[in-house]
Amino acid sequence: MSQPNTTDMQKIETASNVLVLGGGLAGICTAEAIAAQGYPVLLVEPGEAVGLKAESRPLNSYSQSEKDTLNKLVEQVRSSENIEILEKTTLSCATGVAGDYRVWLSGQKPLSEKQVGAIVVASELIRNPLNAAYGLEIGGPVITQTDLEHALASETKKFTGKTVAFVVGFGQSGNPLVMERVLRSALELAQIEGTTVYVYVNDLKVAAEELERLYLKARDNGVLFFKLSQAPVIETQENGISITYSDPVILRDISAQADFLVIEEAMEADSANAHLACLLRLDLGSEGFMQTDNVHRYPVSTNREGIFVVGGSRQVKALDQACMDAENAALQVRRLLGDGTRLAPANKAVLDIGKCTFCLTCYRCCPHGAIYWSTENKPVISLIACQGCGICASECPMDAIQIGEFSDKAIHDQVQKSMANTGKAPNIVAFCCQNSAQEAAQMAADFGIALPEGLHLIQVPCAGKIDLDYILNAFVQGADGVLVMACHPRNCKSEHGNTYARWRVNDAQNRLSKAGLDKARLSFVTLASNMGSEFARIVTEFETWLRDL
Amino acid sequence: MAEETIKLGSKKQSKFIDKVKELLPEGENLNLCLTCGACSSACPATGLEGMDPRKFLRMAALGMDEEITTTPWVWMCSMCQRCIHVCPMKIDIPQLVYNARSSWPREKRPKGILGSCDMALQNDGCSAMGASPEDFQFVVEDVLEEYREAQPEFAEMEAPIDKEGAEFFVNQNSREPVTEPDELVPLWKILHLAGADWTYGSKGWAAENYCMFLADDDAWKHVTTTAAKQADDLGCKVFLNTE
Amino acid sequence: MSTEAKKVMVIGGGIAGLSAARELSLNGIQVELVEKADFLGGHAIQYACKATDNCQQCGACTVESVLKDVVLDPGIRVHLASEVIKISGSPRFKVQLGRVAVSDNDDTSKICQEGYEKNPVQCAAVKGFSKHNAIYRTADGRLNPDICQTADKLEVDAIIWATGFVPFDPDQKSTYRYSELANVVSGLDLERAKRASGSVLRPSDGKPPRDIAFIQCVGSRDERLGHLWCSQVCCPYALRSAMALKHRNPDANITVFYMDIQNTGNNFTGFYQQCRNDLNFIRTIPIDMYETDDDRIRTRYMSETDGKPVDAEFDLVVLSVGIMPGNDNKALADLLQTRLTPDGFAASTDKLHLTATDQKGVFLAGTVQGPKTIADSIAHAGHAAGEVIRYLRRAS
Repeated sequence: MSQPNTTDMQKIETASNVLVLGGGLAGICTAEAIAAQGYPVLLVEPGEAVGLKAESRPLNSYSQSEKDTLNKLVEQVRSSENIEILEKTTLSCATGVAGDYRVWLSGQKPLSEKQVGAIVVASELIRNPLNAAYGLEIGGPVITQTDLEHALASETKKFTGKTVAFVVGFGQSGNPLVMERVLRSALELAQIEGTTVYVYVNDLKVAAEELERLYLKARDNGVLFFKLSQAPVIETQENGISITYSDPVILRDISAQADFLVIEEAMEADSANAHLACLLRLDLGSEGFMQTDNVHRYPVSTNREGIFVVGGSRQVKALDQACMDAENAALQVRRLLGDGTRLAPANKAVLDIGKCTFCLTCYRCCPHGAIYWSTENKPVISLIACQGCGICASECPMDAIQIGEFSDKAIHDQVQKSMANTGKAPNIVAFCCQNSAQEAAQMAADFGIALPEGLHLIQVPCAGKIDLDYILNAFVQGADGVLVMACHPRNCKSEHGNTYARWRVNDAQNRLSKAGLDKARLSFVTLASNMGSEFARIVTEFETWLRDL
Repeated sequence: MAEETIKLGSKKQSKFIDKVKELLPEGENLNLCLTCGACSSACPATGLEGMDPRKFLRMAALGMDEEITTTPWVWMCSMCQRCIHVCPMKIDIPQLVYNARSSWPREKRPKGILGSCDMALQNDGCSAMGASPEDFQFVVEDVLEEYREAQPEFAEMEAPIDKEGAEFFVNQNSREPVTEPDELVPLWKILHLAGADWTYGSKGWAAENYCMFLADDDAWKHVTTTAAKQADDLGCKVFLNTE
Repeated sequence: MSTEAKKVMVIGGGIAGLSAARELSLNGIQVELVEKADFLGGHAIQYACKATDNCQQCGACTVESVLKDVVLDPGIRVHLASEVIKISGSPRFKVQLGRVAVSDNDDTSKICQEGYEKNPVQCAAVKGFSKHNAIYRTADGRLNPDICQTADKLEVDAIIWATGFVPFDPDQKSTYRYSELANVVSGLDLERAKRASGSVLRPSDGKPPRDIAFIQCVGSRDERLGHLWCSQVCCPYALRSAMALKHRNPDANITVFYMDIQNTGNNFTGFYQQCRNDLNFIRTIPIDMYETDDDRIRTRYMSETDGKPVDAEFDLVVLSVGIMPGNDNKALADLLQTRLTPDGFAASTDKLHLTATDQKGVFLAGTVQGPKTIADSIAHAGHAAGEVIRYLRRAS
């Protein structure tokens, strides 16, 4: 594949300041890291104040010196000349593309418009007590994990000589962040004179630094853990709580009395994420997070260039991991905004405005939000934001968009050329996504695995670029079979390219059937870049099938 | 066993396991069980009497003292220590089993072990089969003479009893002198060929550990100190325990 | 910004080292990437895709993609089969590299011995696990020193220590009889086999296994071995592998023996529900492995329903081995004049600076600092690269 010629590069100016949404410690770290790279930051917090007040994670796992560091960091951000802080402020609207976002903020000051080069979302997690999962009301002996942490910080005498039971992992799968809170509190309680501590847990989520040790320490201090696969039956009584369950080790029913029952809390995505994602045209991931379940987004990217997600915006992350994200976001911002100008290939995606009927299809289908409407009321494809996947080009009813070296003509020519000198073997045209199938084909070849003689590979930037026309034309040109080879679902760098490809294959198969051809001559396949032997197996089986026809 | 619901008390009470913890130098780790079940997968006695090491430890941790001090399973444990070997926390379950055994009334303990221990207490030989020092001496001398004559290459072989100043004090399971005298010889040959300076003791020559298996601390102490004292009195440097 | 003329050495060419090198290079910093093995990619490049109908987010393909970017990046100079033997000076470190004799006893060499003559390019690729590594080899399959051993003295302004981990050696758990029984394999063995052949076959006879067991926490969460940590990656790889196997062969009967199932990443709840439907989960750890007459593996575990011992037979037993600190960690800590944790991983200064060390200009990336998934290693490496850029900016 040829690299674009530098003479075809276009210089694009980018705004140098960055909007950070969320003023908890993840937001604070992000603002600091970005400012340290030399970019002015606008830090926006919907709550009263940035810093510890806006933070959703308890800090009891941090040493005093680490807490001091955090406090210092907050102070540093507050006093930084490069960071403007807007509290009690939210994002109302956002338009534009990477390097040139326009955002409207509302809060204490009247609605104001700002231009920013990049946006980092640093949502906090939400603590959600899961008492409903146990059919319980909070109150009296039934307390939440947060209640307990507050009590342990102030009135430990309350627990002297008492029995405290925890339930965790039955109202949620849980995670190390949730587990760490339980283990820490259980250990603290066990060290109070005369306490008895039971922890009823499904799976102990210890997949984080130091948690196994903490778990050991808790056991060593006499905390009794019961690993159950179902929640125990809990009843509140006059003088406390009764907990009944079948013990999986001794296989007997056990009932225990406790003075306090600590209800697990979920640490989950802020429900406000959905609205924010909508404003920013981000695809929501699972469980309300703002990063799709797609490995190509590691660590902090989204479907949109120039919008990054850190900490609780993207996953249940502990604070140390959120700090990691912050630094990653700062690096990405630096890569994107550079010194204020960016070079991008001018032919990445070229719109023939003469053919355009302003139908908005491209605007709607671009998975990267790279197409915007100019003040002249025309669609514009941002050369920074565009990833060159070609989904818009294939969806455009007027064929008004052409993608760099993957123009319709170039692909037609390639198919035609590949059909020119064919032998006896069945002719197979395989349209291969360059991110997966093309790599896998190369891997198969490099590993010396035999491939069918009549196999012709046509590389495309994304399976979403494979037009219905390409497929039908391949048959017209003499292909005996056509393969459309895309990334696995949820692995598409352009999120939905493989879905578009599948739809088009279904469409083409119907047309083949109508024309009297076996629709199995056209096959849709998904695979990964490192599946060389699978690639070989698939194409070989396809060839065998064609031969047998 | 009745399957009624077990009630966990909400007050800390002195439990059997706590007593054991106090007794054991490394007993503090009895709390550390991960309930991973490795011990039970590895234990040859798993499943007998509906019990297994993990369940046993867990019952102890839950204060089910009644059950663990009465289950006959403790007598099926062979003290092989495989459970410790495979435990990720190195928990000493056999020690717990031992202490559970010792909580049994002596007369209720298994007759075979009990009888063997009692037999060992009858004379200074400490033989679980009741063989006296004189019987032992007779058999050893008789067999030794026979082999010296039959196998000239071992004409110089010795099997001394109460040899003062010998380097090794060697004990001997009673089964050989009592029922399989010829089986005594291979060990002698090895010691002979190795050039070892060794001796049996007339007192404490028998190597069986029945009093230990019976968890009768006093009797076990008697048996072991008898043997150890004899080794000391003879001025031996090393006690070679063959069981 | 004045980082242009700066140079950074990254020790270790696994996923963390590659990611850090690439981030630095993209930010205009020259990188010297030093790797002890004769290929780039570390352990992560040996993993196979675990997709079913859907991507399961194992991240193996991202390793391939970063590796490709690094190989093609002119700003990164790669030193293979090379190790740091001396470091002096500060803040500009003078580094001396030595060459590492590459062992010919490993599995890949076996494949190559059979095939070098037939197809040297293939062998070069197999040897390096990825086609992208073939660039470092000559046509006869040997490392090409003109490309990947071009210097033995370096001068650098900062160092990223990213030498990764070693997988737990299952022979330390002798009752599993890993070396003795062909059909008892480690998780890494499974990955390598799948990557090479595209499928999982029973080593003893090359037939597809029907009854498969995964045993979790082999070498992890084990006080006896001094391994008081969860390796974090074993549940994800075992569950994803098991689901991929089940998808390929719906008749397969797969059992996971475990203590506690750890989360696998995004949308764990949904994924785990599917796993529960398709796989058998048994919360206990089997110990003894015996061979049957027909090459199956017999083992025993406690039934969860009636507490009775169950004897079960499997065609294949997979030991989910964990992440252990690298064998060279002590030596490297001495060279870099920095600390290890009591567990033997590289020590960071505190929880808020997981990439910083006590030594100025030396930073950590990836599993050298402690167990991490591919995703977390990439994030940690990005953090390290960011800290390096800040450090260089302060220093200039």
